[in-house]
Formats: sequence, C-alpha cells, structure tokens
Amino acid sequence: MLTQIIVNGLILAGNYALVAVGLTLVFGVMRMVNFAEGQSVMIGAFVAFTATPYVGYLPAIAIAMATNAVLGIILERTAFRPFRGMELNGLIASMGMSIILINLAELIWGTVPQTFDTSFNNISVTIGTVGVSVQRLLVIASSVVLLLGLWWLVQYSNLGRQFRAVSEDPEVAGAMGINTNAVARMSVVLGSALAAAAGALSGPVNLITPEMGQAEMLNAFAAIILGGFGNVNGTIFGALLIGMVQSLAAVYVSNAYSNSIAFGLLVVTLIFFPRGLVPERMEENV
Amino acid sequence: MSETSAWILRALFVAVLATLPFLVNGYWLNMAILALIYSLVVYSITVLTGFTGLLSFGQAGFVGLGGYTYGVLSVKGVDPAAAAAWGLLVPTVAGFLLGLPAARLRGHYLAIGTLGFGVLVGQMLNNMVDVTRGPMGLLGIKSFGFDRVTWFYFVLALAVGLCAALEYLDRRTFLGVVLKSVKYDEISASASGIGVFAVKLLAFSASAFLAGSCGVLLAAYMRFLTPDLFISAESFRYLMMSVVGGVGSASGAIISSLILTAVPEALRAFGETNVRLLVYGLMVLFVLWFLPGGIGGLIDRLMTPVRRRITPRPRVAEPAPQPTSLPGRAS
Amino acid sequence: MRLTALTLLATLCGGGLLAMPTLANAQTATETVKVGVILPLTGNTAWGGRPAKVAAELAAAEVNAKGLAGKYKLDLVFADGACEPRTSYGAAEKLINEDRVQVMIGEWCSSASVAAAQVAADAKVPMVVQISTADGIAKNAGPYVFQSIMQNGEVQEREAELLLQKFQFKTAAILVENNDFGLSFRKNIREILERKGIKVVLDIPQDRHDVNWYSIITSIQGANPDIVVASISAGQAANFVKQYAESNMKTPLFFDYPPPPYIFEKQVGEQAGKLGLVRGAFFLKNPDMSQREKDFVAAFEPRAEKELGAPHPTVHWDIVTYDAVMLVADALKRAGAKPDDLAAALAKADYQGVLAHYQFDADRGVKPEGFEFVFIRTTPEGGLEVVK
Repeated sequence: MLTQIIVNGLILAGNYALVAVGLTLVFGVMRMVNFAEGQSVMIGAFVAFTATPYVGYLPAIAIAMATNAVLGIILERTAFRPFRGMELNGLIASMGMSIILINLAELIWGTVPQTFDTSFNNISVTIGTVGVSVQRLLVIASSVVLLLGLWWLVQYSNLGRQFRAVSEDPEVAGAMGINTNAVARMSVVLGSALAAAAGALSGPVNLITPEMGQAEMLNAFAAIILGGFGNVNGTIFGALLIGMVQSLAAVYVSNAYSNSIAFGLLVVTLIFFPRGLVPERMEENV
Repeated sequence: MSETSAWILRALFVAVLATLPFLVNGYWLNMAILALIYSLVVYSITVLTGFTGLLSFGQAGFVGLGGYTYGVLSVKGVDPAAAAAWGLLVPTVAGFLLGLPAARLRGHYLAIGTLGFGVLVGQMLNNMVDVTRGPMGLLGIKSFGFDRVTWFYFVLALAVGLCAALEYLDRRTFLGVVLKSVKYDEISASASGIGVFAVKLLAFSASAFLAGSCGVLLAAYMRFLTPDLFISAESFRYLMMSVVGGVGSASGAIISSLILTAVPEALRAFGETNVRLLVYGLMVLFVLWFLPGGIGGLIDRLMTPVRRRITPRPRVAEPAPQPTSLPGRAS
Repeated sequence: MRLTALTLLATLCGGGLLAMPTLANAQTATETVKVGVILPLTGNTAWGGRPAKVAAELAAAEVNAKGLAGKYKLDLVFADGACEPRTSYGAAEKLINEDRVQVMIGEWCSSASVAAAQVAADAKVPMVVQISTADGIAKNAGPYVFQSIMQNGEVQEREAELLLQKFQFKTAAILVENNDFGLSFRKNIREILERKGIKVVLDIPQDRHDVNWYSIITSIQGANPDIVVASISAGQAANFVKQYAESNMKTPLFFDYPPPPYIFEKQVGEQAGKLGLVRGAFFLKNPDMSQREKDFVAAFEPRAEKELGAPHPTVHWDIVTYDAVMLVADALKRAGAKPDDLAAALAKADYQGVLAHYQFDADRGVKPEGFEFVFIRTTPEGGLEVVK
C-alpha cells in the first residue's frame, strides 16, 4: 500500500511541479502571477491530442511545447508587457486571457470530454502488488528530466544567470546590459512550454476537457508558496511535499477536503515560516 | 474641471441611477440590484488592498460565511434582522481570527494564504450537508419583505453611502493616512509609532465585515444559496471588478461592479454560445490596456488639475509605489 | 472636453443598462406561448445541454405541426445557464422579465436548477425541472415548480433493491463524488445496505474537482470489499474507470448515475467491459425498446447529428427534455396559458411520455411508478446490454 501511495504522490508532484515552476519563473522575473498557466496546460494537452494521430505521441509533445512557446509570446505581449510594475493588472489580464483560451478551446475542440490514449496507456507494469501504467511512469520520468534540464538552465546557462539577475534586481540587471524584456519573454515562453509538457503528459492519464486547467492551478499555487515565490528549486521541493501529503492524507485522513489539506499544510507552514520553506532573498528598505 | 462641477457630475450619476426603476424592466433592475450588492465586496477589496496594501484571494469565503449564516438561521425560523446580525458577526470574527496569522504574511504569501481560507470555506459549505444542505442547495430563505424597487433604493443608498464614506476616509481622515502609511512603507510607519499589526487586523476585520454584508444581502435578496456561488473562482471575479474599477477607488468600484455584472448579461445578445464569453474576456483586456488605472484612474485623471492645487495625488500622476507591489523590493 | 468625457462615462455606465431593454422583442401574437428553456450551452456540461436543446426543438416542432397544445403554438426561447447558479439565475430573470416567457423548463445541474426555480417561484411562472434529481427541488420552491424526473432518494431505493437482487455480496465499499447525487447516494445507500446486513467497509467522498482517483483506489485495495458501489458523474466516471482498470483492480464495480454512453463507452468502453461494469439507467438504446422510444430515436438522432456536427446516440436526458416540452403542451391544451391554471393542470398531469408515465404527487415531484429502471452492463467488446 505504501508503495502505491508513494507512486501516487510522485505522479501528483511531477504534475504540480511542471505547472508550478512555470508560474515561479514568470513571478521571479516579472513579479506577476500568470493566471493563464492552467490554460496553457489545457492547450498543450489538446494540441498533443490533435497532433498524435499524425506524428505519434512523443513528437506530439514537442509540437505542443512549441505551440505553447508561441502562445507564451502572445501572453507576454498582451497580458504582462503592458503592465510592468502593476502586478494586479497583470493577474487580471491573464485571467482575461484564460477566459478567452477556455472559450476558444470549447469552440475548436467542443465540450465533450475526449480520451487521449497512447500506446503507453495499455501497458501496465506491476510494482509491489499494484499495477501502474507505463504512461504514468512516463509522467514521472519526463517530469524529472524536464525539471533537471530547467535546473541546469537556471543554475549554469547564460540565460539562467540572466533570469537570476533580473529576479534579484531588474534595474541593476538592466543597467548591466541585460535585455530585461527578452528575459521576461523567455520566462513566459519557458513556463508555457513546460505547462504544455504537463498537459501532454498527464492528458492520457485522465480525460481532456477545456476546463481541465483550472484544478491544476490551486495546488501549483500552494507548491510555489511552500517553496518560496520565485525560487525554482524550492518550488520543485514544494510540489513534492504537496503531492506526497495529499496522497497520504487522501488515504488516511479525508478525500473530500483534498485541496483544503494542501492549503492547511501551507497555512501552518506560513505561520512558522512566513516566507516559505526556502525564503527568497528580500532586502528591507529601512 | 472645478470642484463644483465634479460634485454636480457625481450627483448627476446618482440621479441617473435613481431613475433606473422608471426606465428599465425587472430584468435589468435585478442586474442593477445584484451589481450594487456586489459593490460591497468590491469595497472590501478597496479597504484591504487599495487602502492598506494587503492582497486577498479569499473574499468569496467571507461572502459565503455571511450568506450561509443568514440563510441557515433564516430557514430555521430566526427573525431576518437577528439572522442578518449574526450574518455580519460571523464573517467579521472569522476575518479577525484569520488576520491574527495573516497579518504577519506579506504580498503573495498573504494572497495564497487567504486563497486557502477561501478554498476551505467553499469545501466546508459543500460537505457540511447536515447544516448547509450542501450541493442540494438551500431554498426557503426569508427576506426583508421589500419589493424589487424598494430593494433597489435600499442597496443604492447603501452602496452610494459606503462609497462616499470610503472616499472621505481615504482623502480626509487620519485613519486614511495611517492605512496608506502601512501600504507604502511599513517600516517607517511603525517607526512613526503606528501599530502596524493592529492596523492590519482592523483592515482585515473591516474587509470581512463588508464582504459578509454582501453575502447577507445576496442571500436575503436571491433567497437561495448553493456552495457553487462561493467557490474560489468568485474571489478572482471580485478581484477583477476591483482592478477594472481601479483598486483603491470606491467610486471606480461601484461603476465597475455595475459594468461587469451587466456586460455578461448584455452579451447574451451575441447568442447563447461561447462567443459571448470570448467577447467578455477581450473586453476586460481592452479596459486594462487603455485604462491601466481602471475606472478610478480615469476619474482621477479627469479631476487632476483641481486636485493638484489642493492635494497632490501620487496614485495617477506618477504611478510610483503600486498598491500591491511586494513590500521591501526596492534596494 | 473633459466634461464631455466624464458625461460619456456616466452615460456609458447608466446608459449601458438603459439601452438594452429597448431591444426587447415586441409583444407576440395571442395564440403563441413562450416557453423559456435554460440549459448549459457553454462550459463543462455543454456536451449534454446542446443535444438536449435539439430534443426540445424537436418537441416544439411536433407540437406546432400536430396541434398538440390545442389552440396554442409554442415558441421556445433558450438561455445559457452554464451549469452555474449565478448564470442560471440571470438566465431565468431574463426569460421571465425580458422575454416574458409564460412557462419555463430547465437547467441541468441541481445548483443551477435551484437558482432558476427560485426565480420562477417568485414570479409565479410555472416551471418544469426535467433533469436535476436533487431531492425536493419542487417541494422547497413552492407551488409553481414541478420536478418531472425521479429524485435521488427514489432512484437510490430502486437501485439498492436491484443491486441486492442481482449481486451476491457481504461487504461493500461506497465511494462518491461530493455533488448532490453523490452525497445523498452515500447516505441513502448506506442505510439500505446496512439494513440488509451488508457490511460497509469503506465510505469515502471525493472532491468533485479532483481528477486523481488513485488514492481512493489505493484505499479500496486496502479494504478489499466484495463490490464497489460508486456515484460519480459523467467525465469523472470515465477518469475513475480508466484509473481503476489500470491499477489491475478486479473487484466488481457498480455505478449509480449513468454516464452517457457517447462519453463513457466511447472513451473507456474497453476498460469498463473488462471489469463488467454495471450501472443504473432510465434508458438504453436497444432492439427491445418501446415503439415510442424507437420513433423518438429515429426522429432525433439525424436531427442531432445535423445540428451538432457529430453523431449523437440518444440518452435519457434528451428524452426527458423532449417529454418536458410535451408535458407543458399537454397542460396548455387542457387548461390554457394562465399561470395558475397551467400550474393546476400540470399538477393533475396524467401523461404518457416517451420515457415514462408522468403523474405528480402532492409535493409536485413526479411519481416514481411511472419510470422504468434497469441495470445495464458494459460488454467485453465495449457495447452495452440490459442486465436480465
């Protein structure tokens, strides 16, 4: 039983993490909450679903990520760039974009929930006593690979250094010759592409519908806060914690309050660590 | 524009609103009543976020607590006035209690903490079937015995009165200055002897009171309740009303709740399809692009030449410290 | 200049509200009765609302062509309720105060129907709730509201009876989604099963927005019951079965509410077939169905395919919506269009519809005797059959 709880938790965590790191990147660089991130997950799932019959599943994931990268550029231009320094406007504008995306998806793909079966869905392996489909293992493995890639990018690449510099202090970074607009755009593009991967990977586990993105957001928020806003590594850790606690609590405590449990954990944590478990560096203006 | 003509315009706006019952049918009057009731929860954001700089993603929780307290008591046969009093008290106390831990949090940590509160209230209303009837919905709620036109004037008086009170609080009182000092610079505020924690607690309780009163009025006016009316998405809808109105502007709040309640209904003219919601989303984007300060920002801009002479208004003239930017980011 | 701008703003705010009603339709001919129909035409339940709209249109066309409402002609006015209480409230307000409908039919989700029923009750407009099964919507909303579908309590009693007849089991796990069917199912079925000496080893609700059923499946494995009895709505039910099959679960599975075959069997037919999933249903398209059902299917499916752009197999939601329009026509024919007369006529209805024989009890809920209720099983090929 414990094995299965751990596997369940890992799958949840992988999904939350892919959505949450996107949110955290955008927040770190622009100080804005991208409310449309959940919709990027949904669009990613549908694009992969549409492309799979033509090119096969794995290339379809790449297509979904590429499509969403373009979507990211549009998002940045419409919802974030116009509102530098006015983060509530950015939040509401991305809400506007998410209303538009949901209704566009309903117009394009209809409202009947669709099944998105891949060849990995029907192969099941037994771990301990439980059956786990290869698709679900693929979710875990791909999340790990993508998150490791992101970690490397943020930690060691030139772009990553720019991300961190802009997160630390946009003005100084700008003065040092970093093109902050380009860095901001890249953060949305990366976030959106990772969300597409989350959608394309988890889509085959559940049915896909135009509303599927909304539920992802709440838990991703919780993960971000636990890990400290704007901190990629902390966020991954937060997602892991939330996924595991939810998986455990669902079996041993209550399933009707699953979201409340994630947030309960969060609130308790915030009481003791008001800036998350991995606090971002903040300077007080004295 | 002179101060007098500004007052004339305000009076004109209220007068135009007051003639509504003679001009529109019951459907649009109903929309106006709902919009005016929703303006109370938008004021709750004005007080919390606009004045004090605290961001909440969980206002629907307070609205739900107020509404359900009134609804459940009323169905049990409690007199509407007493039920309304309880309906105001419960969310206010909840706001105070939530404020105790929440006032220590900042920026987005606070926002997500309050989001958790909203999620919890939503799930409780749905799962506590024995008390709230859960998703089966609560029907048979007693009202105040007003007809629709009386309701309209009642909520109009309430909304306009509160709007005037908040504008006065913001511009003319010491408390308004205290709240803003907490918003713009907490450290200097506490250095000047302001009890920052107490001020935040006060803002939380007042905001919960306003949101709760919105819930009580919703329950008494619509006379049905279901948990779906108070899910987290509603909190964000209120926030949208607030931002479109210009956070911190009570006049903007009332206008934007009128517009954002009426528009989705008016868009039914596009047909009962997704196109109507698509247009709604686009509209929100356009308002934000062309009026980044919201409707309140527009009002301020129109009045600026006068205001400059009397009191400098930093909010629009130079949009330096934004209401909700994370405190302490400046290096 | 500035003055004009601000006046413009004021007129926009006030005037936006004012301008709309003048667009309202002019009064219609005396012989036409406007029937407001609220259905989820957008959002997460539009997959059901859109075909139901086609069924209502089919009914109105038949009524008008064959004169089934006596001297009256029906004019249907549709409004989107989006399966949300707030949107449905607005829709009902619009239908009654702007379109001036004389009778209403509608919504799908219980929370939305409750909202619309309250508006209808206040305006004294007769309303037929044809899909929502939450207990006592009509009873609580007052004398103008009728519920023309069996309510949860009654459905569940029928299910428990059949369940005990068709299955051999000593222990059961109950799992539900915490919506209106789910929560009342949980309470009712538990009582009935325990009365019959069945041990309920697991009883869990799941939040209706939570698509991750693996945790529940893990708990089921731990409790090891003879049968799993579940109440989960359409799309979620398919998620559950997908995850259940994938986890190599072998425990027999029974479902309360019938997820529509065009979602369910199409998406997870193979998995459900392997499990031999059984569920309760009001209707299944099969060779033995009644002549009226055959006629309905023959008339409805081509029309639905044309309107929706995809084949749509008939489900009971389509039929009850069709029947609700027919019920209204029948009452109009007998008593005319005055609200009180119409409500009185509905209360006395004794009407043989396509799906059921409709008669109302003192609380304006439909009498359950008029409904047939069967169990259906998914066959290994992913088809459906009636459990004999």
